Amino acid sequence: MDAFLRLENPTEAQRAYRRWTLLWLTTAFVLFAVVGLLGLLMRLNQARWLSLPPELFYAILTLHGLGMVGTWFVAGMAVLGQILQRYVNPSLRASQIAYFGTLIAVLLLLTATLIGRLGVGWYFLYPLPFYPSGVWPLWASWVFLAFLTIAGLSWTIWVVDYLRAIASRYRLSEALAWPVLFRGRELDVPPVILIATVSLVAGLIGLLAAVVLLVLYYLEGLGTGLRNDALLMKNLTFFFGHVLVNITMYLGVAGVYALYPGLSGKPPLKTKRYVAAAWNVALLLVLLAYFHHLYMDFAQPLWFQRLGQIASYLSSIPAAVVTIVTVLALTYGARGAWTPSRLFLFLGTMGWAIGGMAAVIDSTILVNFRFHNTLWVPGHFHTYFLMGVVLMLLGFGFRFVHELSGHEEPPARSLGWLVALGGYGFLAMFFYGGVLSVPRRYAAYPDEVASGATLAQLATVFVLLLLTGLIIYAWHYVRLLRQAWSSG
Amino acid sequence: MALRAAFAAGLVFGLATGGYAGQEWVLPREEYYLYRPVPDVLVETVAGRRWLSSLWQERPLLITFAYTRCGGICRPFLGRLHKALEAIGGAGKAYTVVVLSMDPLDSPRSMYQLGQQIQRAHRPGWIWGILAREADIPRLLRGVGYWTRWDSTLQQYDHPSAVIAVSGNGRLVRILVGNEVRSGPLADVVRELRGLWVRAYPLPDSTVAFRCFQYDPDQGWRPDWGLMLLLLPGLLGLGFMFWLFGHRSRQSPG
Amino acid sequence: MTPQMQAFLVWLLWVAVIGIVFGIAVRGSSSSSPPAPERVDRMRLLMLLVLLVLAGFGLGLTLPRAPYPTAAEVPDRVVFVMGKQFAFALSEDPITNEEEYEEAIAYGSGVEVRRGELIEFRVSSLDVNHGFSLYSPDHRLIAQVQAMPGYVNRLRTRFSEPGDYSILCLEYCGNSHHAMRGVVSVR
Ligand code: HEM
Ligand SMILES: [Cu+2]
Ligand SMILES: [Cu+2]
Repeated sequence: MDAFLRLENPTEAQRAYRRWTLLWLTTAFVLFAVVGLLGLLMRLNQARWLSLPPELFYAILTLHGLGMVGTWFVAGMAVLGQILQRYVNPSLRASQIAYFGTLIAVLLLLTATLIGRLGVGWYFLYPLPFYPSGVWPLWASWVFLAFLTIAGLSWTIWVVDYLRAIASRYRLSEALAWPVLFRGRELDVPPVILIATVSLVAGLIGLLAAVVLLVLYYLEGLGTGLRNDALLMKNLTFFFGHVLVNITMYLGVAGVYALYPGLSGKPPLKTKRYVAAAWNVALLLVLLAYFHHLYMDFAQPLWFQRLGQIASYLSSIPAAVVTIVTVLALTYGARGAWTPSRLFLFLGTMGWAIGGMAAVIDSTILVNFRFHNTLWVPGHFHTYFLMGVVLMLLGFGFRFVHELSGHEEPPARSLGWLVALGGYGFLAMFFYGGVLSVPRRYAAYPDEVASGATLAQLATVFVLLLLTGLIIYAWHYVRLLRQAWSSG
Repeated sequence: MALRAAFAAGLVFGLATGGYAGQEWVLPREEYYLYRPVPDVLVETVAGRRWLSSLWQERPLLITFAYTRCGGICRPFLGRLHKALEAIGGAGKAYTVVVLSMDPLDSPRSMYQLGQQIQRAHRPGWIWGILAREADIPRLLRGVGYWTRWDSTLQQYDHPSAVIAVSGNGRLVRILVGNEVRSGPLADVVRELRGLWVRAYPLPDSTVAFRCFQYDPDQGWRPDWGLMLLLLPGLLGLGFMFWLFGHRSRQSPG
Repeated sequence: MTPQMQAFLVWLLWVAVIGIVFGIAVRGSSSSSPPAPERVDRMRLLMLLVLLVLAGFGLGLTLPRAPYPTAAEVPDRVVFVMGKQFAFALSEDPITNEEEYEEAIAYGSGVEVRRGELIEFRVSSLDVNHGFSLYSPDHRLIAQVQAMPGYVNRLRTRFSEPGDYSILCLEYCGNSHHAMRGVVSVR
């Protein structure tokens, strides 16, 4: 049994770190289950099989969106920490601070949305938090800002600590593989260090944008008389939101780079020149792509818009091509067994390719004119999330408990089919909703887009399939948890 | 009320906002006239008679009104307009400037002489004239949101200063008001007549703190502090990265 | 075929290609021997080139056709649109403040225009961001622009078919977002 995650003679510190990774992943999976069921609830409501009051629907929408984005970001960070730990020394203390910060943040978010009925959507577009239209009380907006602040701060600490850990072993040029890139030299730096550095630096920049955004919110909210400009706030919001979501994708990809070769019976990957080039380009372009969220704001300068489309097209190509071809090449002729972890990493890469293309299509200004804020949008991001990162990280988690507990993985079959069929069926209804011009974020569909309700009905059926698959997954995972913990 | 005035001022795009509050009623409001057809009238100059429509079919127009008996703002205003358009360029190529009298006592000759006074020599792309039919005066003025009032004690017309932009198909696309001819808004109008276009505009609001770009009537769009705020995370993040990697003492790989 | 359907088909084509490629890899995982590294490198390069060419092609094809209005044509009519939780006010008279908004709303959230005319919508908002959209009588999204407080966005459209064009809100704006609407009647 290949054991990337299971070290031969782990030190006490390494064992402690593993336990925390296990705790992080388990926590994330529990959160996923809870907010995932909320997703089902929303679909049921849109299907007209349930009739939630709109304020509850929109509170749930907010909780589901932010809950999911946060959950998979921390799960990805935890996985990255576990991988980094082979090469450098991320601090356990930083991870613990992030953990408790995240827990407090989750409580605050639950309070603001479920008790306070705050419904601002996952990107809380300014100035909506200040215009509750009688639905949520003022305190809920403040609890929400506190949630953002605490989550932002604890995650910033975490990101900075990983960077510190990398910097204490590698030079910047090494971490970004510049000798390979510019001089074609062989370098003893694994690709995950490169991917980690790119993701973490971009992530830090995104989090700093959130800091600026929050400071502006506080300045206005505290009654200093300052009023903010809606366009600037929207830019900052999507700068931060897009980067964070994109980085989460990369964190999952780091898991693929680390695990997939071993699972396919191949040696670890080397940092080749094209890998170095692809990820350096990604660092540059990931910061510019967010402009595609503002195409329908004609007030945004024209060259921002064009830059947005160009960056969106180009940012997806290098990293995706390199990763996808690598995964395909590792698969072809590998003869490894299709265990759930290997299958999930494989399917996750495929989901990235499919969802990524849906995103590229929507990042075309001409197309965005017809798709912006229709169900096409949740369609594409659920694809690269649910069928991408989530599968990658679920795959990692599956591998993790099996290696730690010393068990062989079961065969993947029914699990794989249920997840793939359920997942893509659920997604297809979003995409087709976009084709039929059904708006996103509608608690109930008006007559013009009544087809949205039919699609939602079909979607729920697929969600149930997906759910069955996930329950099977959970059964395997939970069964080994105790053993993994004590050997961890 | 000042806020409301500022708000309206923003809609009258590129308007000279200074001293505007409280007297908005005297100024033509562009929004009411946008894209409405401009009445076709017969224009008479020393060179002969032409329909206004034949002029706009040739190229877009900038129309302004003046009269030769004016002892007030007409001459200084025309002087400023002349200077500003000289600087911007394009008269006779991208557009024609039509200076029309709203005073029935003016003649093609007197308007020609007014042109000579302001411009010293004949300039291509400038037309100085009157309306051949007196009845056309109120018709044209009403059609473009302009007005005059005869002040019998002063023996003068009371009137606003305005430049009216008319497209190649005879529709009103802009009204610029104000005695000060500000080259920013004027350049904007000329840009629009040339086919370069403003897709959106901010409403001026003095309480808004930071914007990525401010619209300044004199300079067009210019970067504002908001743009710095947008660049700040990137600069700080990269700066931190260089600092961090530069300052760590590296352990040997182990 | 609607533009939406065209985009969907492009994507389906891509899904098919990805499905086939990934399928080949899965089949090959049990029967073939691993590919030589040089072949993988060649394939990677080839794929990169193909995608870059496709991207360049896509950019060249679509960027010049971005739906932003140009001044080449002068609209026949301007319609002022103001969003406010939770209705759009439309009028041929300017709407710049609460009173004018209420006045316009009193006539209903609609406006009438003639078919074939080029209409310029000047869209803004009095409170939060809203999304101004136009749905054709057969319920397809044909145009949209954001209604952002503090800004006026100019959207130009020509209605070729007569009928009622629904306006739905396409930016989440609060509790009755899904019920926020207006109408343009084209005769
Ligand atoms: C477990 C399966 C899931 C189901 C059934 C589900 C369902 C939904 C539904 C029905 C919506 C509202 C769509 C709309 O009308 O706009 C939604 C929105 C959203 N979902 Fe999911 N989802 C799932 C998984 C995920 C995952 C894994 C993520 C990962 C990040 C995610 C992130 C989001 C986000 C960010 C939104 C947008 C919230 C907003 O518009 O404010 N979802 N989801
Ligand atoms: Cu709205
Ligand atoms: Cu809305």
